[in-house]
Amino acid sequence: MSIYSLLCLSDFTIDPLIAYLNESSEQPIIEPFNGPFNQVIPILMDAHHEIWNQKYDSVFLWTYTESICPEYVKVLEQDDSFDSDKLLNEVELFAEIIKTKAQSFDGNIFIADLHKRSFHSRFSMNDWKSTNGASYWLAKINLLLADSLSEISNIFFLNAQNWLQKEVLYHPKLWYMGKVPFSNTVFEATAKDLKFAMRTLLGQSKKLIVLDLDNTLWGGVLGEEGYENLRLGQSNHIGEAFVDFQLALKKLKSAGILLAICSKNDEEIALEAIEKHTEMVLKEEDFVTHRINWKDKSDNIISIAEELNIGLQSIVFIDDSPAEQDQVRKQLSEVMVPEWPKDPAYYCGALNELKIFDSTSISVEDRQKTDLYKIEQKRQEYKVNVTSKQEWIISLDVKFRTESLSKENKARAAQILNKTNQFNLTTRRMAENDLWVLSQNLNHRFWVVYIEDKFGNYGLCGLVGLEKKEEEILITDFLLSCRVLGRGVEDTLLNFAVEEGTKDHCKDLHFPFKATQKNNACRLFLETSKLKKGEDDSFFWDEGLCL
Amino acid sequence: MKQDQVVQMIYKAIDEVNKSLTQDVRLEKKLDEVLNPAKGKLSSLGLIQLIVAIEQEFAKETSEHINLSSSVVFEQEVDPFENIETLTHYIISIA
Repeated sequence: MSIYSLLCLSDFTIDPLIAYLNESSEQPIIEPFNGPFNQVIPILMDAHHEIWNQKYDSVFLWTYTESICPEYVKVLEQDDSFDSDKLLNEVELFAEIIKTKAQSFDGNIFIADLHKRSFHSRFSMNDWKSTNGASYWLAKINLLLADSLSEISNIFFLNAQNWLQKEVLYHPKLWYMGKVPFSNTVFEATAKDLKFAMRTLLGQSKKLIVLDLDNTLWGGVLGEEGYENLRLGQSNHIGEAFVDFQLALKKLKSAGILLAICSKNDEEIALEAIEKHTEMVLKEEDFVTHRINWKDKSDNIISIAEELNIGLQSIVFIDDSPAEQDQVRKQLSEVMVPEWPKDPAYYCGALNELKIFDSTSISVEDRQKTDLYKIEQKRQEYKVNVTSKQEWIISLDVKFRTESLSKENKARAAQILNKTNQFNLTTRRMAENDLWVLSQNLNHRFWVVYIEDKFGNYGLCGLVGLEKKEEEILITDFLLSCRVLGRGVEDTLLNFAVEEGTKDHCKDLHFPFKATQKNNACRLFLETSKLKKGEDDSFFWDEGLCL
Repeated sequence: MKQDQVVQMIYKAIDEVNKSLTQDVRLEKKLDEVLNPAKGKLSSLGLIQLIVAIEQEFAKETSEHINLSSSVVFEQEVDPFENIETLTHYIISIA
C-alpha cells in the first residue's frame, strides 16, 4: 500500500494534526512530518535547509495572517498608520515565495487560507469597512492569494473555514500554555480534508452514486401514496429538504459524477413520478441508468456496474433504509454505503461530508459524462442488432486521433492518468504539474488520444507515454478509458505506441506491465497481442514482427 | 465531590485527549496511570491538553471552574500529576 509523505509547516503547534494524520487508516495513508515551529517563511526560502534533505510528496502550510503580513496587525489594532499598499505588497511577496518554491518542488503544496485568531474574532460595526475593517482586509488578502496562486498547477489553496466552523474551536488556555490554537475537532477536520485533497489528486474519487427513490430522493412511498402525495418541494420543510438534496446531486452530476437509480418499485410508476412531479429537480435524463424492480439491490448494483463498466470500488450507494444498506454492505464490500441520516434535513450535509467526489478540474468530458454514457448505451443497443462484433466495430466508423501533450490538454490528460484503472499498463499516477514538467524532458514524450465514432465523440480518453533510455525505449504509460474498450481501439493504440517507439531503430521497445487488482483487462490484451512476453510480466516488441 | 465522579470526569477527558495522541503514548484509564511527563509516556503538550480537557469536563458537570495549572498545583507535597489517583485526590481537595 502506498504511503504519502506530508511535510507540515506552521507558526503554531500542530501536534494534534500530526497525530490525527498518523493514526488515521482512511486512504490515502499519510506519513506526516512536523516542521520546525514558526519557521514557515525561512524554510520555504532556504532550498538548502536540512528539512529538504528528505523528499516529500506534499507540503502543507498553515500560518497566521499576521505572520506573513505584519501590516495586518495594524488593521486588527485599528491603528491609523495602517498602509494598505504595504499590506498588499507583503501578500504578493508571500505569494511569490510560495510560487518560487512550487517551481522547484516535485510534489503538491497545500495552503490553508488565512483567518483571524479566535481572540480577534469579535463583532464590530467596522469589520467590513474598506478603510480598516479586519474582515474586509482578510478577504482581500485571501482573494489576492487565491488569484495569484491559482495559476500554479501544484499549489492548492484550501478552505480552512471548513475546519474552523466547528463548535468549541478555541481554548485560550491551550494557546497560552502550549501554543495550540484549536480544539481537537478542528485538527480532526483538517486531517480529514487533507486526506480528501490527496485522494482527489490520486484519482481515488468516486464516479457513480446509486440512489434509492422512496424517502431518499423524495418523502413518502410512491407505491402507496401516488406521486401527487410525495413530499417534495411544496413549501413543506421535508419536501424542501428533498429538493435541496436533489439540487446537490445535480451539481455533482454537472461535475462529472454519474447518477443511477436502484429502487424497489414499479418501473413505469416510478418513471412517471420522475417525469410528472413538478418539483422533481432530477429528471430521467440526469440518470445514466436505472434498475427499478424487486430484485436484491446488490444484484442490481452489480448489473449497473457491468453495464457502465465501472468498478464497484467507484460506487457509492445511498438508501434511507438501514436494511437495504446492510444488504449491500454485506454482499458488496467494495461499494461505499454510508450511514444515512434519518432526517432528510441532514441529507445535504451528509452528502457533503462524504468527501469522495472532487477533482482538481472539471473538463468538458466531465460535464457531458452522463450523455457520453447514454450514447454508449445506444452503441450497445445497436450492437445487439448486428451479426458479429467485427461487423459492429466496422460499422461504428471509429476515428482515432492523437496529439502531443500540450498546455491545452494536460489537465484532462492528468485526470485520465489518475483515474484509469482497468486498461492501464503501469497505473502510474502523477499530478498535472509533474506530468507537464516530465513532458519537457527531451527523453520523455506523451501523446493524448481522442476517439469518436458515428454515435458521437468520446473526447480525450487515452494516453501514451514513452521514455528514451540508453539501451531501450520504455512505454511508461499506455492507457484507455474503459468507455472505449472492446471496439478495436486497443489495437490501434498499440500500433501507435509501437510506431512511435520504434522510430529510433537501434533500441528495444519494452512495455513493462505492472499488475494491480484492477488492470487484468490490459494484461489480457497484451498477452493476445503481437507483443512478445518477457520476464516479470514485461512485454516487448520484436523487430521481426510486423504491425 | 465523590471519588468515583471525579475519576469518571478524568476518564472522559482522557478519551478526548487520546484522540489527538498517537497509539504509543495514549493514556490508559486506570488509577495508577502515570501522568507526569518526566516519569511516564505523556508529553508536556499532552499534559497541557489533559489539564484543559479535565477543567472543561469539570465545568460541564458542575458549572464550577477549577484551575489545574496554577503555581499552587506544583507546590503540593504529593505531585497531583503523579498518576490518576493522585490527581483525583487533588481535585476533590480543591473542588
